[in-house]
Amino acid sequence: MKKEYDVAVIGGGPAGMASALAADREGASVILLEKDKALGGRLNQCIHNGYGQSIFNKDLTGTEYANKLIELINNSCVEYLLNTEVTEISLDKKISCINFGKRFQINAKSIVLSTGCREKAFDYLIDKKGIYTAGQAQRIINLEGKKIGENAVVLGSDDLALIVARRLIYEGAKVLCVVEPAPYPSASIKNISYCLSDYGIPLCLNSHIQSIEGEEKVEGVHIVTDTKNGQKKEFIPCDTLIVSMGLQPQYELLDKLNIEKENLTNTAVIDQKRQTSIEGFFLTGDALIIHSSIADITFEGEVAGKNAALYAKEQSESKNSISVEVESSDLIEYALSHNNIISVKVKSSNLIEYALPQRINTLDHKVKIYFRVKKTLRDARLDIFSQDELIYAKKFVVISPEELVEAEVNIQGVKGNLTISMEA
Amino acid sequence: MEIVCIMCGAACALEVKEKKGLLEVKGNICRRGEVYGRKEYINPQRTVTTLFPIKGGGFVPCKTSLPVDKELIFDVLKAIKSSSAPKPIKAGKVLIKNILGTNADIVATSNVY
Repeated sequence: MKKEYDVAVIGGGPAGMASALAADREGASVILLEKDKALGGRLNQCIHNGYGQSIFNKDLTGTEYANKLIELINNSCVEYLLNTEVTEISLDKKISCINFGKRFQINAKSIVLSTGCREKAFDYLIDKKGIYTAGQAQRIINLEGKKIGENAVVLGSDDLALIVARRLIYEGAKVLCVVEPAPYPSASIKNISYCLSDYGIPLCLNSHIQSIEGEEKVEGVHIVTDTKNGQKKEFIPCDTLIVSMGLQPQYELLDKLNIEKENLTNTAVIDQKRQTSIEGFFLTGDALIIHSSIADITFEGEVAGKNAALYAKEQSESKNSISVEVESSDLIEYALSHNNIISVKVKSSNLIEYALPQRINTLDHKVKIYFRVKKTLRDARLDIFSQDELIYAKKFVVISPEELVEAEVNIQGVKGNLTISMEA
Repeated sequence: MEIVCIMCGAACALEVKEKKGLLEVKGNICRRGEVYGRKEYINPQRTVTTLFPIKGGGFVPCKTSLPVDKELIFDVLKAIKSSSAPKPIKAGKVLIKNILGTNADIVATSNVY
């Protein structure tokens, strides 16, 4: 192993592998660092299908998708190190690593962080047996091959929660209900149909768990549902509670370097190259924003990897930056802008979850802007302005929260900040 | 029969009825809804994924190579649970051929050495 590389990619999940492969295609020397004993990241515990259609033209399981990328890595010039945890990155791009007690340092010209996400903490982390986060449950069942309970209640209705609910059913357990505090589920319609409806699992919306019965072990949950006629209370006996509160980006290694962040959301500020506010440091995959499709993660990884390689080749121009701001409309919660200035006033309804990138280098001709909506919108209209000039408009019959909406904007000749406006 | 279309986020509530031997799909806003509604009415199928036991302990993730009839899911899971295969297993290896006469094979989706 060398000590000097053009590009170092930290985190060997799908975003990291895609990133390393893209940098390799640009002719850069690449080292990929993975803390686990295998590449693949979270995909290794995703034994269900639904991956790969748009990238490999085939319906694959998460494990198969990981294996496809690993195969590509093995057939490339990318070097990788397993069981290697990165403890620190310095501003001069020295990477401190530890591998089974052995410490060493790697130097790189550019760094891509693709360290994925973690599950959000939840209030039910109390000392009772039988409570798991959805990701934990998935790991125990799929990687350790253990059964975790007979009668389960699931709190949270995101895709992971529903995939785990079906997995429990397949392992012979009963899933008594999925409890969701919001008035609508957060999973895709496909997972609601294929994981819940197929097995008759009830979805209790507008509901939350008020308390958990049992001294040492979970013996049941008290569920409260808000209805038109007040609150409805129900006790459901169970031995297992699966909690899925969503995922959050994990990028502490860069956070320690004080990269620019969005105050409200803690999202890192990046440009269209996925470069952070510190030159030569790139952020991608779920470490940047939580994606809902593997195709988006792979694409994000490729963008970051390619640009990290180009940066290593020549110190790229970072002048001519303009910022993306959201018009103060009552429909949009926030977008992310240059220099941490949030020019958005949050009012009653929130339609947009986020917009990326927050910075655009106008040396490019076209830039793709991504955002996600907070709930399903029908007959929606997206307008993007530069100062007062409309430079992009699009109508949508339907947009749902699980899709990353893409707007390819022609920015040639654009002089001022961009404003995104969504109406429905 | 009422079926929720899964082809996109619009999640159209489809109503599929048989009229004089012909299927009628209502409630869809696009063609994909009609195709999906028909398929779900006539013969809903799913890809099944689970763990396959390895002889002497352990397991390998597996899937049906084709979607199988929805009503056979639990029979397929049972058949997988009562089988086993020796190590090593490479991804793509056929573990059970033509499971329960469905034309689908059970194939490994990861490597176990």
